[in-house]
Amino acid sequence: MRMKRLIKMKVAALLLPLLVVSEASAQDFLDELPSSRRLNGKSTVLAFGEAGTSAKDSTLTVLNNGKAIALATVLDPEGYVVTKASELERMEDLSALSSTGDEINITLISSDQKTDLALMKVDPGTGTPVRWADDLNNVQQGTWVGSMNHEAETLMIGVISAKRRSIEGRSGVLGVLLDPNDDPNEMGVAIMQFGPNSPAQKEGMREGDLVIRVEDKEIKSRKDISEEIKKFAPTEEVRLKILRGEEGIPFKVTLNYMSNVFDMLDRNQRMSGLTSKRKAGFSDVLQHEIPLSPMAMGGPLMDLKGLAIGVNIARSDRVTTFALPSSLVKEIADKLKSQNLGNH
Amino acid sequence: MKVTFSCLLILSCVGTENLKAIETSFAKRPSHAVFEKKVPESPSDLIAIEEQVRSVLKKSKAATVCIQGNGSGSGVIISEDGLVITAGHVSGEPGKKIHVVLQDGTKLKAKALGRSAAADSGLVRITKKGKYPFVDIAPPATVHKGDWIFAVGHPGGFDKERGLVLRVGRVIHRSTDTIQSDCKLIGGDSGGPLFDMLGRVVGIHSRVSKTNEQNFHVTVRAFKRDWDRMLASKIVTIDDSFAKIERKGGFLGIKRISHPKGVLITGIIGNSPAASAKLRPGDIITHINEEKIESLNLFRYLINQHGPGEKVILKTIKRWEGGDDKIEVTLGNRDKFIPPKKVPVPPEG
Repeated sequence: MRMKRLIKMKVAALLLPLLVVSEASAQDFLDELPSSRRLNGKSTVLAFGEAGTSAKDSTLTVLNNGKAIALATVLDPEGYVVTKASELERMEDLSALSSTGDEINITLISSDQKTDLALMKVDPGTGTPVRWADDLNNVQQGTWVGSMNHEAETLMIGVISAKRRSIEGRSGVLGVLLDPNDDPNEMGVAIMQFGPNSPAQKEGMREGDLVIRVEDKEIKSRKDISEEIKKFAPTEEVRLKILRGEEGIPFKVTLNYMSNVFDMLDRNQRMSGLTSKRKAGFSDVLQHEIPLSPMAMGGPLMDLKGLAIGVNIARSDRVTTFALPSSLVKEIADKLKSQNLGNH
Repeated sequence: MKVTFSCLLILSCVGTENLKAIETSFAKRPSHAVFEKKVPESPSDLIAIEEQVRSVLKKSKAATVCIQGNGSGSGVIISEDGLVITAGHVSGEPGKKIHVVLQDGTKLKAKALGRSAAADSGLVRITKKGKYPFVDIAPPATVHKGDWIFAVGHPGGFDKERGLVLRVGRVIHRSTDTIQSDCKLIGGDSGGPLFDMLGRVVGIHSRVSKTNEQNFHVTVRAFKRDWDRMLASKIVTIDDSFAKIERKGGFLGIKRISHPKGVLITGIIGNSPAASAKLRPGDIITHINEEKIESLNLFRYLINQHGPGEKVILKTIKRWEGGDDKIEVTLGNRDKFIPPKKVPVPPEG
């Protein structure tokens, strides 16, 4: 009896590591919930059902030089689609991927600065036109939503996370840090330093240069500069005059997005990974928590019925994505379409 | 205060005599089938989660506050007279005058009480007398890996137009002091509440790492352990937190490793309480006093909650005989089995 028990113990000692390995995946062993069962796990997102299929069928990928820069929402059988305009700013060679993975031609028709929507066109019959939700009364904090992520490969889900509202616009920036001890009685303010991606530095300005004029305004203080710059949106051009030694030099600077320059200096933005360069200045947005890539803007935001309640327009930070509501997208798309037809 | 203390009192009488009381207080999850499933399987399962969150969200939000004074963080009121639990790095130095902002923007004077630098737990009291909206704290053992939960907070600071921000997710991992979830957090959320599906606080937002699934929350258990000292406006150190446990901890007498179902016994010390209870290598301990063992740390912690001579009930899976078993074990005195070393060592189960 005792012998038998001893043998059993020895066998047990040998078997134990195997028992553990055979019964558990690596994640189980770490006491972690397996990836597939997490909020955006493979198994979990399947619960989105038909609505997930609708999201995929109505989404295209916009490519620049073969690299995905945005998604687009299919509007109608004629091949009109919408996407996020500011992602197209550096376009060189545009093409698109259909939901079935075919590379297709795409052309930019026009864009709307206010909403940051661009109307584009692909061959008629590409993809499935999105079905819009007309009534957003039931879309509240907690409503499930789903969208395709980068290159429209996977569906990601989350909830409406905060109130529908407007997001105040932000002006463009020069990307300079100015002398904090400037004398308001003397002409000019010195540039102390440049921020990352500073458009002023790109144009050839240097540290120590004295800004003496912005547009037609003579500059005496930092406030004079900021008041003048505030009047301009990102990507707009501003005329400046600087004094370097004895020499006065005129510059034209295309203002950058505030986030392109200052996100690096913002702790929350550093926590967020990549975000959209334009994430402000929207008259009406839905806020949700789906952690989409900034290169996945322009695709439809689906409810559980497979109706599009909006179009994703900005990845703002680690916890925030904005979408333009369906009514606004339809209105702007119709406006851009009729302008285009009027031109022909 | 009443509610908080009654809640915490239930927690502090986790002993064998009170098993009945524990069983009732450990209830549980909402009744819908999705909360027992590995993953939601259909849109209607997802809707059940949504409806459950909505049914408790209003009350949860009303109790969630913004805390200003050491930057901007969040917190949650847990008693009618305005006791707030938050993160230790949000409450800051004990005694410091700070402000608590309610959901509607009302700014109230408040005072930092104690905090634990180790666990990142902290207490704040609203000093203006009043009746405030509050929520209950869940008993520590009610939240498990895989449970659906939701986070509320003021990411990026107070924003009246936007209001409080909701995130829904699941518990990825739970240890004694920390819950990891996929409820995404950012600066400003710190100190805000993590709720279970019944709207009870199960954690406080503390920190994040790089991926969207690395969000960390302080457990209710960490608050409970240091509660009296924090309420007395003390700064609690790691040594404070564990000193009491080390002195008191009973001895079971097993060698063990982590296992998905609990802890797996790999060896038994001769004549130990474990040997007397006929535990054997290969057996798995799944519960201590009805509480599910989700990590080695939790096992160690729970054993150490009981002194020599105290009884605990172990639920085990018998490797050799097969089937489940419930055994009552009287813990022994560690010093009898393992001579105390000069240098203090972490407690062993």
